[in-house]
Amino acid sequence: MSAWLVVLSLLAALDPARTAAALGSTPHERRLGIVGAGAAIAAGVLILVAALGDSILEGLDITDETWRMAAGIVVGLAGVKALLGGPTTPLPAPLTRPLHAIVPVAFPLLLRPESVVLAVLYGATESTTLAFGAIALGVVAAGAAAVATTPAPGATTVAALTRMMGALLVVAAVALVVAGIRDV
Amino acid sequence: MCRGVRVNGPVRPESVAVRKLVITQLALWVAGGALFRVAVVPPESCPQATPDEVRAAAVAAGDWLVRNMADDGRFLYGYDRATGLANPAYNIVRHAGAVAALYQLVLADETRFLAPADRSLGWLQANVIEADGWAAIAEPGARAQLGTAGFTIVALLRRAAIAGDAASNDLAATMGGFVIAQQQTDGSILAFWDPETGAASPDEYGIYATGEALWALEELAAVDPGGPWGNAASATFGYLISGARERKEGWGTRQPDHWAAYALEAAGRRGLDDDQVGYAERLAGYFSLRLRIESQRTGRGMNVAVRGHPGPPAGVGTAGEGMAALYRLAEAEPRLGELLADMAERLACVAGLMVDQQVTSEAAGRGAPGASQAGSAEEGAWFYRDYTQVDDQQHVISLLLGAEHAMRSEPAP
Repeated sequence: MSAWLVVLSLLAALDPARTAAALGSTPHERRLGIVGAGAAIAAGVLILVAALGDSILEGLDITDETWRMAAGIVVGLAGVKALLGGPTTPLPAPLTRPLHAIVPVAFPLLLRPESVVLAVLYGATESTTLAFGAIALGVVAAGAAAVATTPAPGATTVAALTRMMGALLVVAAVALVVAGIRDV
Repeated sequence: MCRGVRVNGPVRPESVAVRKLVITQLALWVAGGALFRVAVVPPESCPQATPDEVRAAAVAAGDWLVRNMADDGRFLYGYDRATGLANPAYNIVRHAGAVAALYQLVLADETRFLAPADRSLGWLQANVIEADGWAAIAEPGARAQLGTAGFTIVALLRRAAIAGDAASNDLAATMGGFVIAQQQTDGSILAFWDPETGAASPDEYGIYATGEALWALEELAAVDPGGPWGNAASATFGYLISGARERKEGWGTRQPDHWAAYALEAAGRRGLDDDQVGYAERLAGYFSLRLRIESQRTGRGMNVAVRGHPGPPAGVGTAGEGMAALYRLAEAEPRLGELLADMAERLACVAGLMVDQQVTSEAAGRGAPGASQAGSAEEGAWFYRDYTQVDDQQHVISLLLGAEHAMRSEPAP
């Protein structure tokens, strides 16, 4: 797959706008620590998953090509949901405790089905540099958006950006499925 | 104790919200993961088989063809083991395909199949018709079919290669004239010639016949480079590669044509252009997808709902033999070389599946006292829902011989 598609699909799967909107009620002074730690944890998990990509597929008795198509399906569903779904709901209460870096920032805001299946795929099929780099870039972008965007972006802005990411995911999904069909 | 309150004080509101979020998300991940595993990525099962076992399975299938062959060279067309009844129908194209498969076994040094292959070829030769300087095959009162000619040409050329038989080459070339006579200016090839009208049946094409005829043209081009075969084959390749076939013949999707894969293999001797290389890559992808899905089918429980029953042996065989043809092509074509390892993996996988699914001597009850006629029609065969047909054995023989070659030639990791 092209490097651009790898980077953009992971960026869309990590959706910086949605992350920023979800943390809307968290005071800005708490965000850097919590979001920074959460992003680091998510990046670590995704990079670990990518490093184990081959082993995971082997353990599941699945070929790269089949996983590529399956990833396309997961990413496509996430993209359609982002395109058609309602606005992102901010978390009901501000995040204040260090453990909130793990939940909900790392999981489930950043470690989502679409980001995990893509990490497995790219870890198994792309160069280490590209796979790890794309993960790091996507997580940093999502984290930076959440930290830097104060006050929280308006609902219209978030909806537009999320739909844009959804469209990107759908495009990536089609590319993944087609590549899965054509791969040997 | 009230929900949301700790023994040592009230729970923070964000903790309740986060806890609910985590529980909901974990439930979704577990349920989604299970659904994903069952419906989207069931495991791909590849039973292990050695090259010798693969060869033995191909030979056993050849034995099925021969054991159930009539004196006049016709094969047992089909057999239903649930009822114990033979299918009285017959299909001359499939007969010709099975003849070509028997010669393929002979070319793989299974020389005891030569005599029965000649006998079954004899039945075709007894039905040769001639017109306008060409020859074709047709039973009395029936139209001559393009596919029969294609397979018969391949069988004749294989026989000529085995026995140095110039007469076989001559007949193959005369039948090649029939293929060219059926060819249209756009590269399409009409599937029938009607002896009543003395002309090709207009606007009738065969889903497989075009590829079969193309393969024959390329095989003729290989033995007679100065003949008209190469140019005719190039025109039909253009028809297939451009998608004109699908538009003209009314197919909604590109056809995963395994006979075109054989044609590409033969064309490789003349050298492929970039379009043909791209076409070979595309076909390899189709066959790979088909074979991967087959390896996910268990025929049990929920798997049937999401993947269906294990496919008809002829269907699996066609994808496998197409892949095998492309493997042989890729061995000599550097632009396809990077596909070799993956193709070998698919071939080994499907060969293991077919070895596993073949009816063994024990399962057929042969060798037991009073072994039955039914056992004779079961041993060495592959069944789809209790029915087997001559082309089930034909296609899987070609798949297995191709897989065996790939398994023996695959470089050590």
